[in-house]
Amino acid sequence: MQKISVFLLIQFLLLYGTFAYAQKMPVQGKIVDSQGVELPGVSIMIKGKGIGSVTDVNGRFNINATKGDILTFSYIGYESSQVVVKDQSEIRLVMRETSQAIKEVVVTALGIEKKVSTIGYAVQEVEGKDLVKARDANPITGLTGKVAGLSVGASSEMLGTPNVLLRGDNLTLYVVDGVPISSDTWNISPDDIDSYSVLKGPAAAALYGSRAKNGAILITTKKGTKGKKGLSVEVNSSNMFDKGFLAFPRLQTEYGAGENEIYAFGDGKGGGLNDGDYDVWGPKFRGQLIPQWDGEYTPNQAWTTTFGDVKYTGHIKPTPYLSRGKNNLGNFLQTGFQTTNNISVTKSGEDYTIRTSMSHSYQKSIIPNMSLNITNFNVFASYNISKKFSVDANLNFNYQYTPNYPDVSYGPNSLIYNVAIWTGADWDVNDPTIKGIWQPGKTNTQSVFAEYQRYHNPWLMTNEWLRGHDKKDTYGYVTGHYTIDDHLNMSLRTQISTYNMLRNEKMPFSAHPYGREGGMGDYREDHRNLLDNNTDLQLNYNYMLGDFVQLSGLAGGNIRIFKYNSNFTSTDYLVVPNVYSFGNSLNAVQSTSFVSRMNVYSAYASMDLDFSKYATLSATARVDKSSAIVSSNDTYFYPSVSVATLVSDYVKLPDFISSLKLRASFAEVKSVPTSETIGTAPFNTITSLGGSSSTNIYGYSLDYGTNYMSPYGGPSYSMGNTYSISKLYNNETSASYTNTLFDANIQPEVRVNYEEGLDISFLKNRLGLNATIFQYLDGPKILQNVISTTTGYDYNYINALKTRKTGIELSFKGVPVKTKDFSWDVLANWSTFKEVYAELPSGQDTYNTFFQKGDRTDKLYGTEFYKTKDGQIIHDASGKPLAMQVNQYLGNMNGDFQWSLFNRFSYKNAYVSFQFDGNVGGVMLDYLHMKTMRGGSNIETVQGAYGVARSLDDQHAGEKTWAGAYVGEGVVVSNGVDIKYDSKTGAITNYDALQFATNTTTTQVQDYVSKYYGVNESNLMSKTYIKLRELTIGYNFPQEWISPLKITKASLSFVARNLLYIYGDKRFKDVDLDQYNGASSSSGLQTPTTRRFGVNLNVTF
Amino acid sequence: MYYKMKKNNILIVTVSIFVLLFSSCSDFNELKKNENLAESVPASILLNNVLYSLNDEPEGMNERWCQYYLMNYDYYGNNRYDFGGGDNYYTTLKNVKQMETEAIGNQAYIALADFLKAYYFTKMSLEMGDIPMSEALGGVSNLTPKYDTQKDVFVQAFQLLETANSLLATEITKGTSITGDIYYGNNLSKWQKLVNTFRLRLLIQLSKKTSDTDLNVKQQFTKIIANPTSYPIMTSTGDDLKFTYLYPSNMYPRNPGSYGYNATRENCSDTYVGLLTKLQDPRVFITCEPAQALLSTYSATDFNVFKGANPGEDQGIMYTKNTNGQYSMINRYHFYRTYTGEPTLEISYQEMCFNIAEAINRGWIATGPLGTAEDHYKAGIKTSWAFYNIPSSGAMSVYFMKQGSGISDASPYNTYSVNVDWDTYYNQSTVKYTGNDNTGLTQILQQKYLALAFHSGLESYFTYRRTGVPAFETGTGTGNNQKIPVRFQYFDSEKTANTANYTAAISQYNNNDDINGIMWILK
Repeated sequence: MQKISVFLLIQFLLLYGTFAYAQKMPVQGKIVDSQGVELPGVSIMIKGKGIGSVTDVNGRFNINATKGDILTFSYIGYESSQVVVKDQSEIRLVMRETSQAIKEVVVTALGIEKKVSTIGYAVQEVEGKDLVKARDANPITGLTGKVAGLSVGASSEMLGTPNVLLRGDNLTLYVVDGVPISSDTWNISPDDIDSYSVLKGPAAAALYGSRAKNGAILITTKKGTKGKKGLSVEVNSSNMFDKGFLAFPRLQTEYGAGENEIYAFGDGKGGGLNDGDYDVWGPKFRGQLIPQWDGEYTPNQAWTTTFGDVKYTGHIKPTPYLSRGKNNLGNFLQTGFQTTNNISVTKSGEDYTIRTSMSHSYQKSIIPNMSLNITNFNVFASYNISKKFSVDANLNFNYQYTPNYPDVSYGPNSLIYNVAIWTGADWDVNDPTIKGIWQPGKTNTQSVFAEYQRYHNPWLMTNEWLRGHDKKDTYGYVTGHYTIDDHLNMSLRTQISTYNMLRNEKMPFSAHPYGREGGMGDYREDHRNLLDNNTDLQLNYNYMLGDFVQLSGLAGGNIRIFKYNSNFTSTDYLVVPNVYSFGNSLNAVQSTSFVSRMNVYSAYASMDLDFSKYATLSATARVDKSSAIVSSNDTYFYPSVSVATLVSDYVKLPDFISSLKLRASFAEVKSVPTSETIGTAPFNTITSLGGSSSTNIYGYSLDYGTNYMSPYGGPSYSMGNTYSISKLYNNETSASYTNTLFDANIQPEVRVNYEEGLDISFLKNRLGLNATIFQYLDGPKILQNVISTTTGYDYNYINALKTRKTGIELSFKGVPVKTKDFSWDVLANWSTFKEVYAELPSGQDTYNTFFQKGDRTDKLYGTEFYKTKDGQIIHDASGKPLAMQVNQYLGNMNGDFQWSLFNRFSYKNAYVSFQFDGNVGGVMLDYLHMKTMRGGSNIETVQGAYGVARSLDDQHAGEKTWAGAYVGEGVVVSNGVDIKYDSKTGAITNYDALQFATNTTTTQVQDYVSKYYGVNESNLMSKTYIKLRELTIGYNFPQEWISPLKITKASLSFVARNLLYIYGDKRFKDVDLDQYNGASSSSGLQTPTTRRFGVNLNVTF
Repeated sequence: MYYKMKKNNILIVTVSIFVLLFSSCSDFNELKKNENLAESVPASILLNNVLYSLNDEPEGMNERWCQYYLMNYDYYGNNRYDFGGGDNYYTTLKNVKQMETEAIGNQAYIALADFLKAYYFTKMSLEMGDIPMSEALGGVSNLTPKYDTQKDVFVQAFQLLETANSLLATEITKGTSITGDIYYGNNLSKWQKLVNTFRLRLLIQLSKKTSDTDLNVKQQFTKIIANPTSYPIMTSTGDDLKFTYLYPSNMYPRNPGSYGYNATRENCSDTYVGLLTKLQDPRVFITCEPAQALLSTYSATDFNVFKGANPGEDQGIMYTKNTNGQYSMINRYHFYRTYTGEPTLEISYQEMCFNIAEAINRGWIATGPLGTAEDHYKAGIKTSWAFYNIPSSGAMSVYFMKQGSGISDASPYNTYSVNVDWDTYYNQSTVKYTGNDNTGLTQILQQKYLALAFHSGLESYFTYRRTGVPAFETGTGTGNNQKIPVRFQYFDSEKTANTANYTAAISQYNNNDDINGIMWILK
């Protein structure tokens, strides 16, 4: 039934087009700018007749006119022109730009270019060429700071997906030339990008439906220009290296591995004194004799080592204990390098254009033996079959491949874990024995290292433990355009976006990540295949209603067919070392698989009503029918309305105001349970490999490392009365029923977006300010609500919970100085938002344990110390700080605001540009700090009072009576009264009965630090920082130099990225906040971030 | 060619393409189905799941809260009694309920479901007090189940066990079979014995409620003991409900691979070792090692060489003292040598012997299947000795890790021969049963504590809480103002998702979800 109604709607739209057809002989033409670029949206009027038209995306127009009519062409930012119609049926016109600095056309949803003055919602555009020079290997990370409200948290990991947030929400819709693609952000070549257009919210993106809930990034690729005959070749080469760290673990090198300043190597796995799975709380490096990992094994001789009352006797000959690896991590990391080379060839004729582009990018990681290659091939062709019928096609193939990529997620699989947190300076990363990887006579079976229980030799990790990544992305489309008459044109387009991916892992013998302590190697393959096909039929229309009102817009239908499947297979240990094949599995091979399908049928329409110079009213409507929602409410409708008025066109404003535009919009977007990303084949995680049985699509088959999330967009299958299967005992099959209930009548979730803005420019458009205020009313959501587990279920999916997000975005653009040779351009962006709970699920006065109606949604709760009313930490009788039993409010996770400031100074052919940006406010837990403090490797553990006491602990190590020298700052309860607390708030309920005295009990530093930094409050960092993001010094070679070489354009630039990272509290300068731009409660481990320097050369023939 | 085509023709073509695409998707509702998961499964694989949850692995907080061993390394944990929410078996119970649904026609699964409900609900009640039972597991039909009183939980549990017993009897006669049983190899007779043996355990838990006429604790106990044909109970260790570890799929949590993480970070507790050495009990040689620092004073097989830490000791101090060799580690030969360790007893014959001895001691019954309280007491101890392969008399080899050795060494253990004699042991005044008096009761409970070491989850904590035997030790290291708390808190989700019922439930504890609040069974 639903299906039929969609069909009828489409048919109606088509018929409507047919009725409106009028029989007249058209005058055709094409309008280009001085560069030969086609101008869409140019308004054409027959003077005195009230008949008008606009140009299409190819700059073409049709209008019915008779000989003698005067056509006026007007376009904001260009000088108006008039042409008298004579006998010609084809008019070709070049329009000259006016001297305005602000671009007047932007790309909007479905790739339609519109005049800025007519747009009622927030869109911000960035030119591709601006990013190519100060380039980042990833085409999206370069957008950092360029758009108010868009925050791009670059990943420091090779191939890491940046955290792209628009108004605080994950942005996942990437649209290339009007069609959505499945993107990990690495599968678009920066060299092919002509411009980016950021649609900041649902109002702008409503035509894309659910996927545009959080806005979209539209990318317009370079295409060449029909009518600009000839051949053009462009070559771009960018070469950069990574050197110098911005954020680096802050490590001490005075004490080695061990516990309580005691260490002796026995077998490296618990056989000596604290020689396995140790901390870095070992003895001070004083040259004293201690049995060590590389000491000589003397089976017939026993050596006794003494620490106070502790004696250790073993067969390893003691050697002087010295700080041998003062900068192991720094010495291990190398200079990174990346080179990207692109060549594109464009050939255009009167009725065709074709562009092919080939890019190759090679990145050498700062981690040894790791690299990434990305090859991208793109071809675009457009051909006018007749005056009315044209065809466009585009195909992009992107191939990412690496034999070895890093995985720094916390655990023994992580280089940072092994080198920076849990091992000390008692071994040297460049020691030839360590570099040799294998023990003598045990090549490929037993590695050599300072410890054998938990930690890994870094060379084993990078040279033998290999993780491959091989991903092929193909996307493209074929479009047919047909011009029906002056008012109507139609297009039919089909598009695919597909990838297939293989990731594998070769784990050598003696590697032992979490859950694989057997150390007998493994081989894994993770295959994923996705196909997303969209077919659109679209009708564009454009009419003048009387003299005054112009009606334009489109109507269309879309069919989306989505398919995905994946499988993960692993050996269960290996028989023969170094043979990575499933046939070599010691125990039964383990495997999981996953398949999903989804269809979405949509119809949409948009309408722009131009009330002459007074206002533009735009409306869109879309109806979707999606198979991703289980209930009968699978068909849903969403509208948007916006209005824009260029006040300066009809109100006399003071002279210094060049233009003033006001805009407002409303949109409603609905969405169904889909997931934007997906990991390893879910649902049946392999319990025998340490994974836990999972019923969600984020389930992970392994117990260690990163679950790589690839783009998905398909059904989340979060609701269903189903059993999941696992193998809990003896590989016997076991089943468990879902722990999640759902409302059988669940409705799509709703987001309503209100937005108001003003765009004002001053001093002949030299300065411009865009301001937007937005409000998101989210809900009722599809909420996975926590229910009483006594029902037998943990969650219930219901339509409940409303949140309200409000925010402000300001973008300032200007040319403060402009002379004949010199100009200064400025771009500044500022944005802020906050989100609160507007309505809790019915019957609940609290949500998610702590949250009440009106609370911010990003409040961070964590452990705190018990404190006296004047803020002193309360200690127990043994001198240890007491932690509260209930989590407390620590701060807000989101920053207060983000800002950026971009400056560009040009003098003749040279220019310098740089950008500062940053975040102010917000808090997060520093995970690395917590681990390095508790583990004893942080430099703070040897400084100040800790340092003094630690040295004394070392002098008295092993003494029976030694009770430490560190006295924790704070108080103890002195009158023997029990501390009573409220089980809900954690607050002390009997303050008045307690008496306090200064704490005087001494403890060993390790013991105190481990307790103190186990409490969240001690690792709470501010998220305020500033970055000098990019610096470019460029030079465009003068024509007189390059013309003789038949070169049209040539430029050379020196580029630096991430030059400075300014952060207030040096304790927490071990984490680069750039990557934590969202509401994250804690940092994770990261590869140290680096400065990047390079050269970019661009030549066009 | 296209350009000669009339526009109406093009419209027709495009509309046709669309119609074609739409009509090819006639199975739209089929697409909504998640093909990856089952909508129905055999009851046997659900049984496999719900039985697996019953295993209380012997390395975790349970054994520390029972004060058998202690964690001296702060980074990996502590010995504090910071009780949060108790065990959550509701989702397991939901699977039990699903098993009933899927078991169409096979009453044996229904019988096992009844037992499992009784087991899991009473275990949660013992931890937390009043809990939802009669209204629980209703899914969406009741999102806010009311709390049953602890007494009602037990009343219902006894009804379930009664049904389970009679259903099993019928099905055994009929020759019904099941699969998926990971404990008894699908032997329903053993399950029937377990049902009644477990019922004896529950009745013993109610030792403070013998006067309750709804529960009729004594009468129930008598009924079971008196009618072994209708209510068969365990007759040997072959009837034990135990979890057997397997390599490589289900390794004992302490094994050669985990040695370097834990072995030296776990030392014995004085509560356990102190009792063993006080009783001159040879089990100390099996489960514990000499304190290295005392070896200069005592021989390795002297009871004085075994020393546990007070669980209440500050953990940092305990760590240092352990490094100094002042405490016994748990025996690495016994616990770390293999990947399969020892099976974990969940409900055992030896425990039953002590439970019957206690019932006789308390005068609930006059004699049991083996005779007097002393007979059961002795059987319990002997069974425990046999579990550790301790001979009733003669030489026994014992193994302690050499100082400075690792588990990977060729010969990491020192071997000693110890002479054991049951009669000598039993005839000590501390061990020989003094009769059905308070001292006798303490002896029974002490021996039960020793027999359940590293077994049966929280059972020894529950016994301590009910009887005070053996005396648990406290200090700053145990937290909670140096008191042993007597109940777990409710689950966090109850506070927000079942607020009214939760609030009513904690009203008996001064409106505070207090771990020191006294639940009904302890009053």
